[in-house]
Amino acid sequence: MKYALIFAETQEELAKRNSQDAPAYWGAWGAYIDLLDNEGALVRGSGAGLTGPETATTVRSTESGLAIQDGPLAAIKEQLGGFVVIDVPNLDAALRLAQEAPCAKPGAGAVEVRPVLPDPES
Amino acid sequence: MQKLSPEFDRFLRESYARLLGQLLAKGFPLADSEDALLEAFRRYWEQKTDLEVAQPEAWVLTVARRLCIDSARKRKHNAPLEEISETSASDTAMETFEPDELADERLRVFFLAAHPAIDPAIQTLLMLQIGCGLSVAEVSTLLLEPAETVSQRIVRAKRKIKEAGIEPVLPAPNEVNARVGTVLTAVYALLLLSQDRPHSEDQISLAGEVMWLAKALAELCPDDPEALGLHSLVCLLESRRRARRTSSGVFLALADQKETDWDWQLIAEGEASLRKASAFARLGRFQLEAAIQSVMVAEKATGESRAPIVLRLYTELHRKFPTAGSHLGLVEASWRNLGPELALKELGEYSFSTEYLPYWALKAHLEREMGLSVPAKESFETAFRLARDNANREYLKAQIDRLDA
Repeated sequence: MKYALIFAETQEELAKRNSQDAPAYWGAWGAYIDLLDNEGALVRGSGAGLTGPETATTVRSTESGLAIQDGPLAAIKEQLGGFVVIDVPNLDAALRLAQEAPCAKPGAGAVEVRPVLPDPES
Repeated sequence: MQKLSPEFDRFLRESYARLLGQLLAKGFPLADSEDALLEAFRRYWEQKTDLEVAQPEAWVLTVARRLCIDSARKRKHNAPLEEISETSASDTAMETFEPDELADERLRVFFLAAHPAIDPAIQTLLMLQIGCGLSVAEVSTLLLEPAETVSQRIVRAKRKIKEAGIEPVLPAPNEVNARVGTVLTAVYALLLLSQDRPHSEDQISLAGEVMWLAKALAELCPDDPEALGLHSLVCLLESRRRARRTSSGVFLALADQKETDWDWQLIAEGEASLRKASAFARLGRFQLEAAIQSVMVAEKATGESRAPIVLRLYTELHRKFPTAGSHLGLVEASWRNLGPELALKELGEYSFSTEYLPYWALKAHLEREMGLSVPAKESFETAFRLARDNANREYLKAQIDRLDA
């Protein structure tokens, strides 16, 4: 079964990308993606890391027409940092791998685990 | 399923989770397994007089398994033949059934129902339905919630199970302690349900289920102090079930119970688990509640007051795990230690649900002891309006009459 692991990071965690902690930050993510791959869970080419929320633009249609706005979807404590798709037998396996993500550490953020819609072809 | 006969009802209830667990263990989906099981029970009921089945559970399981295979075939009618041939090879074989070996099969149903990915508010409903085999109507009667609400929640939870890929597997040994918490909480909710209503047939069979679960979980997690604490609490509460009501069903307070009516073997079992739990020096809610029960048993058995210890334990319980129940316990303990005036003050500082009967009953008792007959009578009358069973109503009516006299 395929699950998207959606990584949400706190402001402090995202700030590490542009600080002296950057090597350790990216190293932890690289190691994590390797772990998913070594477990045979990673669906290669399925995911992406994202640039910071300050680079986001949101598009939405409202009653008064198209609204294009600076900023990410919702201004909450944690911001979308990236996502991958994994293929594992069940939710428990997905939750186990989600716990290993760098942003699942205390204060760093959270991971949302959500099943991917089945391929309409199959 | 409609009620057929008390014996059949008991058979269904006792076997349901075991058989469901067996089907899930074979990899059949929850929805198919449940439909098949109810249909198999129905067929058994219709044919049992002609069948002379030596092992009813094995018969029901065999029929249910065939029905599950049929459903899988119907759904997969385009699937290549070899995919289903494996399951159909043993189609006609009779299932063997060794009840003692099935603890894990049954437990996996409860771990599924109390999976942390399921809304905690729904876990109890799901445990009652797929774990204890109660119908939606029975669950709704037990929880005093509208059948429609119960049904919607159960449907929602089952959809989540299916779509999120939650599988009915027991957690691996290194994960079981992290996962058992939600199951313990859900069993605790079942325990409260089995305690707080009069002794109907439903309550007794639910109490048996809670007992089995608490014991099985304590055996599964012998190094989890809260699993041991819950087992202890269940034993200590259950040991007094018979003593808690007179033969006509009237409620008896601990002070009025006969110790000879207590089940001393269960008390010993509960004490043993509590001792094991305390060795870990990690005090939790269930251990605290069990300790309170243990002290109250000792107090009654020895005739020596331990009121200050009970007050200390309730204070700790209410500080760390505040609930309506811990609050009332604390008020009662304050009453014994500090008198009714201070207890009533403590009771009044909280304003939770005005529909909570024990609150009004305790308030009435405190007011009566302080000689406030008019407010006491009003409180008893409010409690009486909230009472749903006859034994409770009779008891409260007697209190009101006493104040009138």
